[in-house]
Amino acid sequence: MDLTRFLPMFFQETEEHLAAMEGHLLRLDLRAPDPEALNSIFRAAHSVKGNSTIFGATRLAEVMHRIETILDHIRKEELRPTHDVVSLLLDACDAVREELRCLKDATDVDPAALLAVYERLTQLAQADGIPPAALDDPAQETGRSARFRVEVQLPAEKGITALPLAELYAELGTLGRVEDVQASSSASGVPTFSLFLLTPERQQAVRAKLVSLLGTDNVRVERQQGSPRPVTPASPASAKRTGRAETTAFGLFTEEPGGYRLDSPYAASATQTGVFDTSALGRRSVDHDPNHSGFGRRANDRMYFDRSSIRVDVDKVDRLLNLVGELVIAQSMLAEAAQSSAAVQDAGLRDSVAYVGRQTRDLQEAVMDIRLLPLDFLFSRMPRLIRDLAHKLSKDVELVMHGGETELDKELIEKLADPLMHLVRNSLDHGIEPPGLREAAGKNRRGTVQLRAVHRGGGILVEVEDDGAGFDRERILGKAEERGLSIHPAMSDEEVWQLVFAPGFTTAEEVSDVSGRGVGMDVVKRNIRALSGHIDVRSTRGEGTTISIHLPLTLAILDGMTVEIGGESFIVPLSSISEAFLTHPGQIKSITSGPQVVQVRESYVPVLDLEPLLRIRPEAARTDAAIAMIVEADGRRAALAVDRLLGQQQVVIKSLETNYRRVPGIAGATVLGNGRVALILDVSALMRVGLAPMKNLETLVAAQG
Amino acid sequence: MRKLVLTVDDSAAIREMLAYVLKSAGHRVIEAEDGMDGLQKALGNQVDLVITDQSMPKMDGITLVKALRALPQYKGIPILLLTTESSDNMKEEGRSAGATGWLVKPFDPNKLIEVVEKVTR
Amino acid sequence: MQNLSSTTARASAVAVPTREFLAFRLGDEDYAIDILKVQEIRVFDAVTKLPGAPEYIRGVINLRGLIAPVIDLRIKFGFKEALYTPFTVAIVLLIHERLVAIVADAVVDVVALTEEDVKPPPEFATSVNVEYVIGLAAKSENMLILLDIERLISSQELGIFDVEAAI
Repeated sequence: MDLTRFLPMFFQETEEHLAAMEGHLLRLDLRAPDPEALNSIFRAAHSVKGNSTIFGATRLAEVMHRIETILDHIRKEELRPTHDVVSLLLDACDAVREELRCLKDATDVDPAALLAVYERLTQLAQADGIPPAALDDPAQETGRSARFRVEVQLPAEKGITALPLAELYAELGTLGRVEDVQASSSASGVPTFSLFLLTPERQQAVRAKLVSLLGTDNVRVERQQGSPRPVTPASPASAKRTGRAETTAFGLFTEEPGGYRLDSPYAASATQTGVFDTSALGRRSVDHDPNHSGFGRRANDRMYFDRSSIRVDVDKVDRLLNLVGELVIAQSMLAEAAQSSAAVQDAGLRDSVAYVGRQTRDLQEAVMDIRLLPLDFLFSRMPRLIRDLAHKLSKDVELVMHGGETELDKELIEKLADPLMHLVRNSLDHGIEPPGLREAAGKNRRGTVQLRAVHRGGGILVEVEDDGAGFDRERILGKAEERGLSIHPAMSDEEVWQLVFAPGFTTAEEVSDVSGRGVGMDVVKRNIRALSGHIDVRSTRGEGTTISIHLPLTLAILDGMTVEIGGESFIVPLSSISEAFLTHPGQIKSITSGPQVVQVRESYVPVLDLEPLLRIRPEAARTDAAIAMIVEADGRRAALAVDRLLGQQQVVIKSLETNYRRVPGIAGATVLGNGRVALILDVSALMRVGLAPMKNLETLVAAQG
Repeated sequence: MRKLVLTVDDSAAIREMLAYVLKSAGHRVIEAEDGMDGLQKALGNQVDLVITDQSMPKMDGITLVKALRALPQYKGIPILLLTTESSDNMKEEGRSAGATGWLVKPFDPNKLIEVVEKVTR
Repeated sequence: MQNLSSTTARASAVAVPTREFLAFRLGDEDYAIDILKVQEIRVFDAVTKLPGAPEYIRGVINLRGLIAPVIDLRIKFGFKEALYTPFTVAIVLLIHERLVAIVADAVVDVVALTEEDVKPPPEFATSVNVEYVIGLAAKSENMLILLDIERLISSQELGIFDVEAAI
């Protein structure tokens, strides 16, 4: 069977498993690891191992196998999960991810990196057990999972059919994990139904739920001692197993009450040739390219770009956008041609043209949407960053993130990465105090850093907030003075905080290696400004600091038609334009008690008078030979009287709010080829304000004769 | 003869492969992604065969087998365990849970079809 | 009616060693603003009008890719004339992280002022609302009216920024 068709699924699943493993590892409580978390990591490793074997990625399978072994040791409390152990496991995930990426891209794999990790894992897996620390009673209080045996007595006649099984399992599923279900008779011959439940819930809660669900009191719930059973019976019993080669691919069990016959096992070859030709880790690979740079750093960088199924060059996307823009123009030309006296009779043609128009516009939207990525791409790096940094600085920090699903143009996200990381590092370095100090100050030993993103006022707001020491006004003023910056005592707090962004405020020597080489706050600010954004600081001494980054919605590219109205240039988004044509005398009619209308084939479209809205007057309004541009928004159409069509082009949307404010009716601005600013019309808003409520224009026109 | 097969595996790739093979042999397939889901689907549809993975979240394969065997309507239905190795340990657990047989991953599609025919006769 | 106590408070608040100011001309009067707020000085060029904006907000210009509003204080302060000549300049300011350009008839000089140089503003009204006047200085031939340009530009009265930014 050709397995290549299933490869994309394999890649995607494996990446998801790796992400899940990493997530659990980062959140793992080292003093009292949650058995459920350990199980989840184990299962993920197990799944990856299985799939990797099937697809012939044997190296990955072997690394995963080692990870399974280590997890098992931890589960059995033979190995203590120290910070270093977790770091090793995280490194292993990175290495696997990197190897996976190479396989996916069909680039050359450097086995050295994976091999190195494999050896470290092997060492750990075989190490003499570190004496386990005294563990707490698998406790109720800490909310960790405990194991209960549940037994339900069943009414004699009906037996198990008396139970609402679907609901029961569903309910149990929400409580935790079910194991070892048995239906049998108790000693006295009463049919019973029993199972084991692994759950963090309290015993009484479990019983209460079951009693209520089953409608019977005959429910017994008993806590079991000791840690839960391993997940699978076939778990790394590697200690017991001698060889790994299997001889049987399939088998049937001996006849049992139930009637199954044992057939002679197939003497079939067990494994398929996988898709990848990779040699197992046991043997060293022959070629090692010395020019190949270490993966470690790269893996981290890659992390946030490689989650989706395919990677595409930005240039390709832009080219696609361009082509679609041309297509829209072509479609409108087609639409115009379809209006010719010959073609206009052909209803089929008209419908087809309209259909093409709709598809084209949808296509355009879809392509532009490709450039948007959720901020999670940035946020996902943070837990790891915080973990490593907090450890290095001996601080206890928790990271809380909100709004990762907020989307931003890809380019913006890439450029936001460095400044954001720098700010988070700063919070840890200078913001959050060491646990001792915090405690002395009456705070929680554990500090919190919050990362938030939200759509706000036509843009995006990204905030980094910490509950640390806050800015020290006096210290900043002192430093500023030293640096020769202009200060005076009556400066508001806001102004003082802004001093931190002044060039030269942070000297090279001070930039600790933690906060990054030579990246001062002034560079952060400059980077944000370069994105047409701005940065604010709010801080209270002793309580914390919030840094807010305001960004325009997008550096997105808009396809627009540049038009001239009343001597001024404006951009009308192509997606709003239905068609445009030169009107002939008499095509624009005025109706009493109504707006001016333009006849478009069989219907009448109201003219949107831009003069009151934009204080401009089309010169052509005086003549009859105007260009009518039919625009569409919110299901309605309107006609704009335009003096000239200057051409269709891709424009970069710039926000007016960066340095000014929101202007009603204007969606943004752009810089034209001649360096001048052109405003982009917000068609929807203009129509909402400028058009009277819908009247039956046809009737009005007809009545007028 | 067309059979209704329930496949239970938390790996989408494996479910895809199973479905592909089974459907090309003319069988109908219902999929579940973990033991709990598998049980729900088994309760909701009378299937002719269950193929289940071992290690899954919420409820593992062995537990699913036991849960199914506790139901009257599934006492005689063949259940196959999909496993990554065929150790004695696994065989013992599978047998005592009441599974009909096991199948090692990666599976030979032809073998899979043969097995399906054999157990659902 | 001015609030004297606040203006004297302002004057004394400026009690610092030498600061540098940019002096520029609006009509017949010379004004001076904190040079640290000045980004650059440009030749006044074509401006793109903003619909619905007050008369003194002439429109927006392109500053190396960023869109910034242009304010004509002469119109705001009610001067008789607001001419645009080849000498007209746009002084680009950075106020609260935002770029704003103000129109000036000409740039006069860069002056260094100490606290002794600055006298409190007169009690009679100047063209500019005295709330925004730090004081007067007699350094060059003309009297320099020292403006608290940041306060002026961020003010609600001018309404350039949305409410949040004008904290």
